[in-house]
Order: sequence, then C-alpha cells, then structure tokens
Amino acid sequence: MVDFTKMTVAELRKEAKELGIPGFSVMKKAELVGVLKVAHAERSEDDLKKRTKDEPKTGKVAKDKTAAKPKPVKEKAKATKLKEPAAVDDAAELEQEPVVDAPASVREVTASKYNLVVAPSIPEEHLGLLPESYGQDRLVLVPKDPNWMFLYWELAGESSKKAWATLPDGKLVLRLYVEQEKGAPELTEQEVDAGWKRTYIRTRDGDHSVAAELGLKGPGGVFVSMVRSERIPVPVARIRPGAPKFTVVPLNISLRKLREQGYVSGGSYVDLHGRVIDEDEFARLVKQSVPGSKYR
Amino acid sequence: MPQGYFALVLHAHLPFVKHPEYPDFLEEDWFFEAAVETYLPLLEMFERLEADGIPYGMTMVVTPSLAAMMSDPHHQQRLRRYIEKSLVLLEREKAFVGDDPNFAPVVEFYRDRLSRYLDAFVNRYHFSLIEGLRHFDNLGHLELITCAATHGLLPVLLSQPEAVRAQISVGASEFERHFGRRPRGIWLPECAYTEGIENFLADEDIRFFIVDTHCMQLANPSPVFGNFAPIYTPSGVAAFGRDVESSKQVWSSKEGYPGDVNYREFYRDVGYDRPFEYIRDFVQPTGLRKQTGLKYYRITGDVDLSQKQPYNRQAAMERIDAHAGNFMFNRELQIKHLNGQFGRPPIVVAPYDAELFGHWWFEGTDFIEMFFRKSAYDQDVYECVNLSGYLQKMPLQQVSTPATGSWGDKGYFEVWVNDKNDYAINHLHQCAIQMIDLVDQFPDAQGVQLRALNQCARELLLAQSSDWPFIITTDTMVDYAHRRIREHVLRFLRLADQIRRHQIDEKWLGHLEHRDSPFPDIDYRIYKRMS
Repeated sequence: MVDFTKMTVAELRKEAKELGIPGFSVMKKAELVGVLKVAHAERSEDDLKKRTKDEPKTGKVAKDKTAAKPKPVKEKAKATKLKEPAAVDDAAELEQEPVVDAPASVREVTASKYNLVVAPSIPEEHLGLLPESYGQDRLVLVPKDPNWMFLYWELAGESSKKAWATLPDGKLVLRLYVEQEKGAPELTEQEVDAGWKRTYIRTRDGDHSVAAELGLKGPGGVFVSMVRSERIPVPVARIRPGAPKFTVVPLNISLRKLREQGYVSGGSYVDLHGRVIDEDEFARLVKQSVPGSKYR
Repeated sequence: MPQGYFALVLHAHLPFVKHPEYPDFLEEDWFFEAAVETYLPLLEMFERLEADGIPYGMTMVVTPSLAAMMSDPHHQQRLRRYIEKSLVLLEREKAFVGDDPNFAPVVEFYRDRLSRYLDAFVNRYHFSLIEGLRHFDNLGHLELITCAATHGLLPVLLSQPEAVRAQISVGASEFERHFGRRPRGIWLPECAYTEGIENFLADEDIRFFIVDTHCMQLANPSPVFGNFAPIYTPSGVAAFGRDVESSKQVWSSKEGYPGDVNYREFYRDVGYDRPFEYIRDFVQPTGLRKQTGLKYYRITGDVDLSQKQPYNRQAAMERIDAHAGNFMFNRELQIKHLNGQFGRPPIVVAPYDAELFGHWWFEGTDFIEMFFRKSAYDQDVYECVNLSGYLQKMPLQQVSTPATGSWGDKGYFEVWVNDKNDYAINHLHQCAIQMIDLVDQFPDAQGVQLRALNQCARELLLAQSSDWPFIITTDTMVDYAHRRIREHVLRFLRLADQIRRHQIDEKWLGHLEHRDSPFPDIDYRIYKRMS
C-alpha cells in the first residue's frame, strides 16, 4: 500500500483530484491521508473480498450464545486480553481521531469536528503496592453463605504485642463462639498459623451467630486474648413459619411521619388511605383484602 | 380490575470507567456499547410507546455510577465519537459488501439505526441520556429508581455501618441531582440483602427494594403469598421478590428466547472478520482487534462461527412477535392461576440486567416493546405496573423480614467473597475506618482540605464497587479489576495521609478530581461516626 503520510500536501491533493474526491482542496494533510486510504481500500475491495474468504478467522473464541450463563452481561470482551496503550499527551490524542471524512448523513448532525474533551496531561502515578499491615489488632468475620464464614485478621497492635510478651512460647489459637438457636453457645478452638491472615470457617444450619477470638494458649490451658470479632449472624437456609401479620403503609406518607405516629412497629393502624383506625376496623380490612388468611 | 400485575424491572449498571489519560481505552467501550445497543434503543422504544399511547408500566434502575458517566462530558463526547466512527466504518462497509443480497440490507439496517441514534443523542437529548430518561420518568409509565452509589456489596461493607449509609445516601442524593426528585425505590447491588440494611433505606425515605426468590421464601415469618406480593420489613420499607418462571424464560439457555437461531450472533463481528489493513482504524490503537458492534450473522445453530448464516432482520422480528406472544400467554396463565390460588391479585416481578436486552440479546428491546404492545391490546388478565404504582394500589401487605442472600451464583455472597478476591475486603474496611476517623478529626474542613476529604470519599466508594470482585471471579478482565481496587485504595490512603499531615499535593488532587470524578456534590461528612 502507498504510504500517503510521506507525500506532500500538493501531491496528496493531486492524487485526490485524480480520484475525484470532493472537497479535497480544503482538507488538511491528515484528512487527505485518511480519504486517500479509504479510496485506495475501496478500489481494491474486490481483492479484499476474495482474500477474506480464504483467511482463517482471527482472534475471537467461538462461544455459542445458546450456552448463555445466568448473568451473561458481565462476560464482556472475554477473549480480548487487556493491553493498555501508552499514555499520550494532548497533541497525540487529537491525532488519534479517525482521519476519514464523515459521510454526509453524519455531517448533518455534527457540524463541528470531534472536539473531544481533552485531559490535562496526567503524569504517571507511582502508587506502589497495597499495604501489608495497618498496624492494628483486628479480627473480622464476613458472611459468605449458610455454611461458610470468611475470616481475616491482623496482629500488629499493642494488645497482641503484650500477649506475645506475656506468653512468648504460647501457641496462636482461634476460638469460635457459635450461638445456637437453642441452648448454650458452643466454643471450639483451633491452632492457627500467624501467617495465614485469611481463612474460611465452617458454620451449620441452625447456628444463630458466630463470634471469633484470637489469643495465645500457654501450658496448663492458660489463654491470653489478643482480639475479638463482632458477633455476626449466620445466613439461614430454611423456612421459618410464623403467624402472618399484615399492615398498611401508605406510600404518600413519609416513613418518618408514620414512625412518629408509632406506626409500623405495631402501635397503631391506618386504612388504605392513611387514616388512623382502630384494631377491629383494621381486622375487618385485612379480612377483606386477604381472603382466607387469619388476622395477625 | 385486572386479575394481577406484571412488573418488569431493568437494572442498568456499569462501573465507573473513565480514562482521559488515554485517547482510547478498551473498558470505556462497555459504556458506549451499552448506550448504542441498550440505552438508546430503550429511549426510542419509550418514544414510540408514548406516541402510540401504550401503557408500559415498568421500573428501571439507573445506577449512580452509570448516571455519572451519562452526565460526564468526557463520556458524552467519546460516545458521539464512537457512534460517528461506526457510521464511518459503515460507509466503508457499504462499499465493501456492494450489492451482496445477504449483507447489503444488514449494512443499510445498521446505517439507518445508528444515524437515528446519533440524531437523537445529539439533537434530542443534547448528549445527555439522563435528559431522555428524566423526560420519560416524568410522564409516569416508566419509574426510575436508584442504587447504592458505586454498586458496593452492602453485606460485606456492613462491618462499618457508616460505609453502607454512605453508599445509600449518595445513591439517593445523586438520583435527586440527576432526575429532580427523591427516589422511591432502590436496587440493592446484586440484590444482596442482610437484616438491618432496610433501616438505612428508611432513613432516606426509600420505600422499596427487590430481593431474590429464596430470600423471600426464607423470610421471617414465611410470607403467605410467596414471591407474588411484597412484604413490609418492620421499618416500613417494602421488599419485592423475584419471580423464577418469567426470569427463566428470558435467561435460561434451554428455555430462554435469546438462543433462537434467527437472532443475531454476538460473537461474529466485523472487527474480527475484516482484513487488518482495512479495519485497523476501528480497532484498538495497539493493533489488537476488538468488537465494532457490526455483526451480520445469525445464531444459526450449534455450529462453528465460520458456519454462521447471514442475519435476516425480518425473520428475527417474526420470532420477536412469536416470543413476545408466548411470554404474554405464559404471564396470563401464571397470573390467572395465582389469582385463583390467593383470591387476590398477585404481582409477578421480573428483574433483569438491562444490558441483556440489546447488548447481549440484540432484539431484546424489540421484544420488550412488542410485549407491551401485545399486553395492551391482546389480553386483559394483567396490568403492567411500575413498583410504586403497585404499592399505591395495594398498600396492605404482610410484615416480614427477608432472609440474607443475593441473586448471585448459589444465592449468597460467594461470587464476591472467595479466595481470588477476598484480599480486598480488609483494605475496603480499613479505608472506611480511616474515613470515619478523618471526619472526627476534621469535622469542618474548608478549601483544599475539604476538596481532599471529599475526594477521599469518592476513592473509597470507587474501590467498593462489586464489579471488581465479580470480574476477578468470572475471570474476564481480571488485571483491570485488580488494578482498580489497588489504585483507589492507594489513592485514598495517600490522600488521607496528606490530609493528616496537612501537606496536600494540590496538583495531584486536581488530577484525581478530574479522573475519579463521579458525585460532584459529595460531602465527606456522610461518613460521620454513628453513635
């Protein structure tokens, strides 16, 4: 292919004139190069077509749409590996515009050229790596599902230092306090590697909530606590029957105002229009609106 | 009175991606593709339905991070460039395909469509998709609702309740800034709910949210109408449950409509089909090919990409007609049956990612339009409603609290909390802790200090986006997701440190404000310590 960028503007105009390109006389060099490239490509389009048919398909991995995942929208650009172009200055940005002339249909609605918002040149940031430690003693539980709880910790604060000083030969143990729906909380204990920092602990259906504690265990069962987590409820995975109770929450009255009336929490009742009514009237209303269900 | 209600909910969301430091940035295409294939077609659909007087009650989430891109001049200008470039490519394509009877009509179809969208974008919406959406929201059929500021997975952030409050409060105030009124509903990111989140919603007078099917079925106490009526949490905020049946018909690979052989094939794109010299100006500046959005083939069947048959628009639209009719028919049966069972009009709530329609399932927006038209003319069993409209009609409901869960794979939080991405959680919590401390320390900041504290709040919110751990789990643009977590956390920590030392690098702060620029009105005091 001819390298139009090496030609002078006069040469480019001559070429454009010969090809019958309209408006060539007012075009800038970049525009001329663009239109000539297009014109050139169009001339040899028959050749191109023939070549496409024989060329092996490039790039994209075949993926049948019929095998769509439940949330296909996030699969964007799957086969395309991220590769960033080098950062550029403003001048380079403007040069990156498509240099072909817009079709007439486009020109109608875009009188101006691509006047892109140009960034102030942003220098490279040297942000480094994420910190290894925040200099604290912390132990945090995060729910994952009914059977697993995520747990992470950091032992870099005063309390853990003190514990190590008290029991230099102690073993680091993780205690879990599992509160059951009925009965006393259950305590389990396991030795952990101080280097772990992140792990998952097992929970069971029926466990109400879990709290964790890290500390040192010494001879004779001595336990020196370092840090305790908050108590976190375990997600449930079973049906919880109970007597149904109904209420009316009129959309046109703010929740704040309804709260001030002592409402929703069960103190008072309103009808479908937000008027305060007594309990018997409300019972009749529910019976009307919810056939077959028992009030409260 | 209809026998029941059908409530379509579209969740339009993309993470905030803005890279003014590059002339072209691949991940910015997410927004451009969705705008051209989903948001602009939906706006055009609303226009036609309004013009024809079709009642199209539906709910649409526009997340604050998406709204931030829709209103950012950076994205507006680049979206125009994106559409114009596509039209330039189509000029070449016109010459390239010549009078080929298979492809000439497809090229013409795209030219016509994209010219219309460009015209609407520039001349009707003045570069602002927000303006278009606000217009239809005001007319009343479409109800817009909000989402948490950056789509943060709230149950994971709850160890600092202030972080959850900020996500919701910024979500509500950004909605008001864009759409001129307070939101009545919210989409909890990934439908992720755990007990207590409803109280933050009540504080903003947000009146409803949506949970996944199992969170409703396992609610406490068990709801007598299952997923077919909302429940009121004790705070007074309503929770709607997602319907499985209507969802499956659109999503499922076996029963779903989008896999029909006549619909457009997503993976066969001109960007990969054309000779390199020809296409180089329309792919990545690095020379790597990419999707251009011009796709001329139909799904055809379970065959190799090279064996796909040409796309026939008319044949595809015939299938749309059949599928929309089938969807309507199934809703009639479902709603009649539920009404008989309950003796009360049920509501069927069908939420989907908006980008499924148009971007993934190319004809999806036509499907929605056809469904509304048929529902208006061909049946009288159900009425299409938005969720506020329903709550106005049916304010009496059961009191119950949904169970913890999400609409992600397996129903809980595994997608966002697993050994590939859990390293980030500590950093997100630590930044939130520091943010709360900063408010204690600088309760009345002014000038540069105020700007820096507000920017800290933006960096923290951007780091919390659920999209990053999601992308890491699904193994798509993993490097980019890791990079975004790292950059926002480190920008936050460095800026926080500068604030504490009273040594703010103002020039750098300016760059951050320009680049990580959503939520211009944010007030860092939203992180004020809760007692």
